[in-house]
Amino acid sequence: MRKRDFLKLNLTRREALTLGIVAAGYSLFTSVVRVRASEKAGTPATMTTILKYAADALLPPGGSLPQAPSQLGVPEEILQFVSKQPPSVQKDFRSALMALEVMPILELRFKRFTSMSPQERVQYFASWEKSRWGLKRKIFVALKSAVTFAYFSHPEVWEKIGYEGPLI
Amino acid sequence: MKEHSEKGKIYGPGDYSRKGTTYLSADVCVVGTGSAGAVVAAVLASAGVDVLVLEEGPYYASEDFNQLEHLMIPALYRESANQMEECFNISVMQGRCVGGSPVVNMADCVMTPRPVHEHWIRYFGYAGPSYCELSKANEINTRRMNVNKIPEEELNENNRLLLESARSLGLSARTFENNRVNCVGCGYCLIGCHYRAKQSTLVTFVEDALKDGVRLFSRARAERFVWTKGRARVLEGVFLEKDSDVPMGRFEIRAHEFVLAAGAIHSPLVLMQSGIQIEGIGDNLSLQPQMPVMALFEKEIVAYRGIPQAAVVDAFEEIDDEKGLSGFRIEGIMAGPAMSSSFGPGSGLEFKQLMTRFRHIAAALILFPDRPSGYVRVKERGRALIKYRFSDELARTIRKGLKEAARIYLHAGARLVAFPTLPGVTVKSLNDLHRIDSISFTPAHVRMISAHPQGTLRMSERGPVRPDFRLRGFENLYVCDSSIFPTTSSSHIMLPVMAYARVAADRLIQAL
Repeated sequence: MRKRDFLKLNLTRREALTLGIVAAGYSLFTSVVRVRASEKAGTPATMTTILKYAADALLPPGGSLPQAPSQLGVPEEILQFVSKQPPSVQKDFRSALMALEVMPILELRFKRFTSMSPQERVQYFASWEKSRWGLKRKIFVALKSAVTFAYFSHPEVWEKIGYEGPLI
Repeated sequence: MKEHSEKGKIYGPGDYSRKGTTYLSADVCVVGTGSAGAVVAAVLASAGVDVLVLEEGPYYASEDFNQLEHLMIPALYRESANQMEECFNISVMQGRCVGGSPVVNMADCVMTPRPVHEHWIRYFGYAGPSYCELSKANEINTRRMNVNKIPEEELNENNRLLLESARSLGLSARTFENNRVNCVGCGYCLIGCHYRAKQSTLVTFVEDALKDGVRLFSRARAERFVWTKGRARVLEGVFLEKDSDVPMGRFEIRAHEFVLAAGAIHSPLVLMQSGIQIEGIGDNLSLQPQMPVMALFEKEIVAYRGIPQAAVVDAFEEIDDEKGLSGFRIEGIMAGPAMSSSFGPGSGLEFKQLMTRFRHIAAALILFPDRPSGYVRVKERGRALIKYRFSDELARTIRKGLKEAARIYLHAGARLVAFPTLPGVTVKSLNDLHRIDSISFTPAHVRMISAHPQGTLRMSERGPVRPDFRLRGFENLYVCDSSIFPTTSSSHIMLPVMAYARVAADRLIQAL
């Protein structure tokens, strides 16, 4: 097999691929362990973090609506809402967040979603909307619906978009 | 006094025992309080029948509707308005509260057109109530609900713009008949009318039923019938907590007759959970999908105030006894910012920028009467697996509908027309209309809505429901909701369901 100057390590494609799979497997394993451990401890901090980054990637701070969802407590509100749903819904929601967290690794980007820079996260998650893989689009729809619904329920946001709120 | 025997009362979680099983009995037990259940209960009770009604959702009085989307939508809609078909293309939105979907609908009143009825007789061996009988029932119902035509001078800018632009293009357009009286134009029809202006089931038939002594159990989920020899003996279910779907106690109901009126998704679900195996249960689902479209204008539209859905472009709707209802119609619509944003295109700063122009956004729903193309099965107890496939013909019709809607809005001066697709499709001029051809209907490519699921317990020659509303093979189990329609019954199904429900109740009274 032809040698490639891959990452300046002179690895063959097969070697590079093997290394990538091992790295992805390790990161995936540590992510799962991390999430499971935090869930067992009763502190879903990891889920909150993934959701926080996902929400801020969907509606990044800036523009004429400067506040990010995380600044308004949107991730916490969504998790509170999900906690009242049937167990199967809660499980699906956790799986969706986990998929978002580890998918970059499986795609050989060598970092988790939460390890990306804010700009990378915006671009990466936006790419899910255009993905050819139905699962990615489903997760995008589910998270976008939840985040936008919660974000545009805040009076601080209403003020910026000219919505007066209830009449009673 | 015997427990839970007080007449004319709405019971709730505070009245239920957490321990053991609660045993209840009545002459007739009705499952559901929507368009079908409320009418059946009111008609039966007015004839002096002892009626017990179950509603899975909570009870909210009109004054409890606080116009806050983030509180009302989770409270009043099934699965918090997140009930999706398996491919994530269509959100199946159903009311789940005392009064059912009419509490959260747009108050549009459209009876089944006669050619659709003829179509059923011709192609489905339909032998149910005659059109004349249904028309008489409809007349009584519409009188009770104060149905009237919306005057054009009451249109808000969103609906006026749609109507005038369509007419100036030579297209037929008109205002709706609706069941509002003294509407204040707050725009919150989708989350319950605080002012009792919408004459929904909650303030008409449910109140009538209670006055005549019906006992109504809210947060009570019907799960399964215990049945032998063609008779339903007992209906089993669970009481649910006030703010979550966690079961808090069981119940068993004995009745002479049972009426299933839980809608086209959940009526078949209860039968399947009961182990009743009759060909066709849960099949032939029509979702009548609707695609929201947003149009951005330079001027302010403030579409979220006034009557949200008041004008319809019906130029593309086709009604005949050969195909029934087909084509499409374009109807003005708007919700508050929370729900509207869920159907906006794209994400990121561009999407936020669009939402900052919220007061400048006009919106419409394009409604597509479909052929039955899906089915319902049990996903888990109380939750449905909804499968639906877009036929090639429907996909073509949808693309045509989107182009016509874009044409109308561009003609009205819109700067941009956007569709909730993945990826988002926007049109800025007629030259961009070809972009709509790229819209796919494979999983998770479009964000559509279904508010009118129908057909899963067909009343037809070989369907699971007989012409006299009884479930095939059963003597005392009736079905009278939107599941019995062989194909889509109308562009807005509240009136057809209510007409059938009144006829069913009249027949039941004769049978008792």
